[in-house]
Amino acid sequence: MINFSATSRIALRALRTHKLRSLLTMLGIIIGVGAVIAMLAIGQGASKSVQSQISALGSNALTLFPSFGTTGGVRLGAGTAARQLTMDDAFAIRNECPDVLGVAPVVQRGSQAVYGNQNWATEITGTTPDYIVVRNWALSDGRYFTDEEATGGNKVCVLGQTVVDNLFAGEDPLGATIRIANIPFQVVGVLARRGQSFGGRDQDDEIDVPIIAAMRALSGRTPFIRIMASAVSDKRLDAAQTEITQLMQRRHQIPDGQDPDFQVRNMADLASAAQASSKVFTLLLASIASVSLLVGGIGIMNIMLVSVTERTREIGIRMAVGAKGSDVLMQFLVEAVVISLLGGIIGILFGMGASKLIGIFAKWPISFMPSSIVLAFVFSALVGIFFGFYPARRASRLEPIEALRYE
Amino acid sequence: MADSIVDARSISKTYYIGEVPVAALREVSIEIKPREFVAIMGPSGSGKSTFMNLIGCLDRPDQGSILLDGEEIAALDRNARADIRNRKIGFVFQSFNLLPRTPVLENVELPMLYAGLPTHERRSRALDALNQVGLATKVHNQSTQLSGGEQQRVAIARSLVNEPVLILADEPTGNLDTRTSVEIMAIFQRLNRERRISVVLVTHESDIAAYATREVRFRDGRIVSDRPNAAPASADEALARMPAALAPPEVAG
Repeated sequence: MINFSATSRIALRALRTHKLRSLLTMLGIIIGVGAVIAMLAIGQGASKSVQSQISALGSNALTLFPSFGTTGGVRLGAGTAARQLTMDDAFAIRNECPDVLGVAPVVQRGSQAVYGNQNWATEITGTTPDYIVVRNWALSDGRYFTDEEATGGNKVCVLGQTVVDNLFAGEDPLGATIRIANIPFQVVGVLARRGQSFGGRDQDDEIDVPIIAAMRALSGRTPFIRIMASAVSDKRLDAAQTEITQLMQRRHQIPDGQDPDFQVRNMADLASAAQASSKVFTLLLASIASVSLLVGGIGIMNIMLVSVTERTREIGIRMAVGAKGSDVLMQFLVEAVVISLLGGIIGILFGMGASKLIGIFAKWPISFMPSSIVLAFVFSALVGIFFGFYPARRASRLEPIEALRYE
Repeated sequence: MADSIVDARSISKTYYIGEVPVAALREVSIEIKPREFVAIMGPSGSGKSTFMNLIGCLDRPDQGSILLDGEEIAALDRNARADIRNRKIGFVFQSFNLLPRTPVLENVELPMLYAGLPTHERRSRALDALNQVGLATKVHNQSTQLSGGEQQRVAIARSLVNEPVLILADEPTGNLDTRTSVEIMAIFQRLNRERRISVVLVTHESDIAAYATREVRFRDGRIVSDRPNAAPASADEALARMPAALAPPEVAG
C-alpha cells in the first residue's frame, strides 16, 4: 500500500496540472462553505444579541402585574383587577422575600417633556432607586434619585440618552430644569446608553422620576402600578417567584385554588422562547446555505469523472507497474478531498470576510463560533469523500490492459 | 530462482467481440529459462500480445497454468496480480507509457512507490537505474521533454528498479529510428548478459529479433516455430559500425 504523503503529492500535482479546472471546481465548495459560514455567523450574531439584550434586561427579573377584572363575565384586561398593586406590596416583598434582591414599583405613562424651545414625547417612568438594580442598568452621569426622594415625591429626574439627545443638543443636562406635563423637574442624572430592546423599542427613550412625583404629575387616569423584582441569582429565580406569589396571595387574601388577582411574569421564559426561535432561524439559514455546498459537491463528482476518463491511460500505467485497485481509489479520493478541503479553507475565510462586510454594511451583529468553523471544515472533507468516492471507485475498477490501450 | 522463469502449459484465451468468440490463444505451452532473451514474432492477431498479457500478469487465461518464477499465476485475483507485476516483471511498451508532466525521476520511482519503499531508497535506486541506461543527467526533466529514445530508456530504468526476474518488452523499438533501436537493444543485451535478467521481446522486425538468443513465432493463436539463435548479433558491435554523425534524427513517439 502506497503511503499517504506520496498520494497527496500525486494529487497536488494532478490539481496543479489543471489549475483553472481545479479552481472552478473548488469555487463550488468555496461558495458553499462560505455561504454556510456567513449564514451561521449572521444567525449566531442575531442569537447572541437577543441573548445579551435579555440578560441586560435581567434574566433573573420578575414582573408582577395586577390581573384583569371581570364584570358580568367580561374580562377587562390587565390592570383592571378589583385590587391594584400598591407601593406597600412592593415594600412587603422587599422585606419578606429572602430570595429577592431588588423590588421597584413602576408606573409608566407617555408624556411630553420640554426644555427651552425643545420638546420630546417620551415614556415617563415613576419608580424607586431599585429600578436600576432590577433592570441591571448603569448611570453615565450624575446620580439616581434616593429612596427618600422617591417616596417624598421630589421633582427630580434621570434622563435616558435619547431624551438627552433630543432635548439637549450638546448641552450638559445635569442641573437643568425640564418640564414634564408642565411641572418642572430638575435633572440629577443620565442613564447609560442601552440601545434597542429585542422587541425593537428604543430603551433609552425614557425619563425616570420618583414614583410619588409621577403619580401626582401624570393627571388623568392614574396608571396602575406594576412591580419589578429581581432574584438574588438566576438559580434562585423560581424560589423568588414562589415566595412573591405566596406573599401576595396572603396579602390579597386569595383562598387556595382560586385565581389570584395578580400575575407574575418571568424573564427566563421569554429568554428561552427567544433563544429557541433564533436557533430555528440560524438552522434555517444554514440549511439553505448547505444546498450550495451540495451543488459544489456534485461539481466535484462531475470533474472527477471527467478526470478519470481523461487519465485512463495513466491509471493503466500505474496498474501495470503494480498499483492495486485500492491505490488508485486512494489517489482519486485524496484528489477529491484535497479539492474540497482547500475549497473549504478558502470558503471559511471567504465566508468570514463576507459576513464581516454584511455586518458592516447592514449593521447586523455577526458572531463566529469556532465550532461552526470546525464543522464547515469537517463537512467539506466529507463532501469530498462522498462525491469523490464514485469516480475513484470507477478508476480503481479499470482493467489494466484496456486502460493501457486507451487513447 | 526457479528452474524456469516462465512455464506455461496449454494456456488458452478467447475474447468476445460482441457475441462473436475470437480464439486469441489455443493451448499454447512454452518454457522460458533464466537468462534467456526471447524474441516473439508473428503477424498482427497471431496471439503474441495476448501471450504477453498473460505471462505479464495483466490478464488471466481461460485454461491452462502459468508458473512465473515458480509461482502459479493463472488464477490469481486482481490484487495478487498487481503484486506480481510489481515485484517480478518489468514492462517496456512501444509507446513508452511514461506519466506525462512528471519528472523523469518520479516516473522511475513509480514501481517502488507501489512497493512501499521509503523515499530515500526509492531515490537512490532510481538514480542508479537511470545511470545504467545513461540518463543520469536528465533526472529532473519532464518526461515529455525527452526524445523517443530517451523516453524508452526511462521506461527501461523504470522496469528495472524493483529487480524483476523478467522484462517484457512489447515492440520497444516500434517508434524509434534504426540507430536508437540498436541502442535500446544494446541496453537489453547488457541487462540480459550482466544482470542476468530474462527478456521477452515482441517485434515485427527480424533484424531486431536477431539480437535475441531464441526466436518464437506465433500464428493463429499457436506457436508455429521455436528455435534457439546460436549466434545472436551484438548491438554494441552494430553501433560501432554505424557512423554517429550520419544517424537520422530520432522520431519521437
